Amino acid sequence: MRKIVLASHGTMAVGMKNSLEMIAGKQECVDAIAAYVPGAPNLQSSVEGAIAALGPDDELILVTDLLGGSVNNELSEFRNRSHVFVVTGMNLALVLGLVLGCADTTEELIQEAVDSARGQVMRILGASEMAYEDEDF
Amino acid sequence: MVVLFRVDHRLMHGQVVFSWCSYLNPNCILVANDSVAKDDLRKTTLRLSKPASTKLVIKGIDDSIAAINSGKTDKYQLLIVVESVRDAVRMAEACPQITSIDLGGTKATSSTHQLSKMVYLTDEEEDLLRDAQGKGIEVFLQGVPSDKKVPFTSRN
Repeated sequence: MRKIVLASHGTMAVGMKNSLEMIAGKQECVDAIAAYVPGAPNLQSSVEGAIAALGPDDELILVTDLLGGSVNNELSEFRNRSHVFVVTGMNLALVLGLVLGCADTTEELIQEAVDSARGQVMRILGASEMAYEDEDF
Repeated sequence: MVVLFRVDHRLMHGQVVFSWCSYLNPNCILVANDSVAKDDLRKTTLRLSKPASTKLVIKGIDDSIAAINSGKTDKYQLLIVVESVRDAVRMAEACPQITSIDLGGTKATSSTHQLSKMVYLTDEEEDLLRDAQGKGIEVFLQGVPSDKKVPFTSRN
């Protein structure tokens, strides 16, 4: 089973899970950690807990908010654990891609989700400027 | 081959694109809608939400029926989206390749009653769907692939 933990400075991860579930339905395998909020448990301990709870055939994808930010800096060491992957640049398209994507391996799933999400960041221009051509069968 | 024929008043919406495309892996989406086919701005907006590896064709209802019946679409794993029950029944009855209608989402209005969280129908629409069932077309309700598929039963 594949589990996903979203982690961000503050509550973006929690909001991300809310938005995700609005589109894709309830997600039992997705958890959200709001880091550095007063009173919140230690970020690394929370992730250690998630890793400890993994079954022998489970995999964990940690999604962090910002490359070079503290959350990613603190959590990137976990990429060395077996069955754990770290992805940064959290956005809704990426998270949807990870949750709803189909691929044979988690490596492929992540690569496809990252590529797809990256392609969805753009300025929306007027119809004529975006110049899409009509496709036909 | 038609992998899904779906009624959704929002046409191609985040939910449809992501969840159904991941589940069914269509390589082509047909948006069959008379007003969108003539509207460049709406067409562009739809194109923005399509998965990269999936072809998107937008045609009016008559052109869609003609294309499907000509056999041109047989080589695709085709997901078809229409906006209304009326359009759905018209196409399903005109195209033997369409064997089922998924009621994915319809708008609530003052003349509709609720069938499920996302599906609201007028009496006229229920009649159209019941007639379609009588002609051997399967009609069911399913919002996303993880929802249970619920057969449509007319309350009349």
